[in-house]
Amino acid sequence: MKIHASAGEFAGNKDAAAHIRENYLKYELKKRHAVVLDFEDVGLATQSFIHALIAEVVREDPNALELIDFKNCNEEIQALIEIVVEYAQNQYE
Amino acid sequence: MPEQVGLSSIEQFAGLLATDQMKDLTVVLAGSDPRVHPIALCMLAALADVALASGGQVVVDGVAASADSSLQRMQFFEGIKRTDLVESAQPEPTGNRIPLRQIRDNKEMKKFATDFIPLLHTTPSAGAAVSYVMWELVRNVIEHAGSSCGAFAAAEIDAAGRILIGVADGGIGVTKSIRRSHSAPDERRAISLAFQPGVSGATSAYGGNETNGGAGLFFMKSMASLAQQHMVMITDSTLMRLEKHSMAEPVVHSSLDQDIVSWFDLSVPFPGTAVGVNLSLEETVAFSELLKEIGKIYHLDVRAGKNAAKKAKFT
Repeated sequence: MKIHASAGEFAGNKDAAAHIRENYLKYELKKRHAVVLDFEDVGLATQSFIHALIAEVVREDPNALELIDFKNCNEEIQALIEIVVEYAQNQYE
Repeated sequence: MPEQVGLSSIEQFAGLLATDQMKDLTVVLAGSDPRVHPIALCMLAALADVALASGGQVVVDGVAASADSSLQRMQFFEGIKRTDLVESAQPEPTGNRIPLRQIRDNKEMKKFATDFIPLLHTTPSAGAAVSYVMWELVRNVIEHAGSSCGAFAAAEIDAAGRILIGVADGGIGVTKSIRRSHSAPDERRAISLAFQPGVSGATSAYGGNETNGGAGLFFMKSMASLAQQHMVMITDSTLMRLEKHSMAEPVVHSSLDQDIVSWFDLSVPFPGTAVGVNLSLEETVAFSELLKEIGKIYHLDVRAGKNAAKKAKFT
């Protein structure tokens, strides 16, 4: 799944993230298919976008991360994904 | 409207708001070329929208603003729906500003991001920061403010090279928004909760729901803190200003209680929410470094899970 095709160079549109989550991610993961989230040509995303994209999936089943390939992420997007992946698996004080 | 308004003295502007219980909005211009922070322009545009929606009018008193004035360049009179005061000779965009715009939904936000944010000529890192802040603040309005007028947004680069950003709405305010899902005995507590990572008015669950992570304002506060700049929120009867860090190495705090913050009580409440952020043009803090600092907060603030957290896989 090319994120740029839905969200553009700056991924801030949470509706686009929700669409990918519901129509691709959850659909494929339910069948235990490997998925690819390709961030090629995406320069930056908001934390809100990444949250809307993956937080629920990770929260419901952290093992799903083994089936998700985050591809072509620059340093900033990788950092955002790591933040969301971590807090989605934990409770807060 | 005073001659100059910045975030460091925004309480003086907010304190000038007065009410006579009438539906009209009256804007009094004190000088021929007032230089005001975008947050003030956005607040007035939101107030104008509230007045018009209530059947009132927008009245402008005082000195006329010439074509090359800051108010004209920021398209303020279009924003308050007084197009009769727009000077016909508009100067070409210089790359120093994003004029005042109204954004009602996601479609308009996409157009704003495509057509207007690039008007601001900055470094790539600063441009990314502006996009980030604008997207998050406007989305907050669209999702949480309950405002039919949407968000008013504007930005400008000042003479000192700072990027000044303002977003405002005439919605329900932060206190009501937070109280949908959390206990907040007063407005200050509501604002503190709004800035706390993992808290969203959309749900009582910490960490948010599938759509809202409750981290947008915290991220922006972190950006302002690390850039050693101000951030302001004005909502209901309360004004909160995050003061500049004076430390050699500023830190990110998860709670407003740990930050240096000034609180002001407003005699006339603002019917909605306004947020102002100043960012630095210099690439003194790379965005990736900012995210690493924020990541530390999340790591330290969570209760340890029973098992080691799963990691994302990157190729």
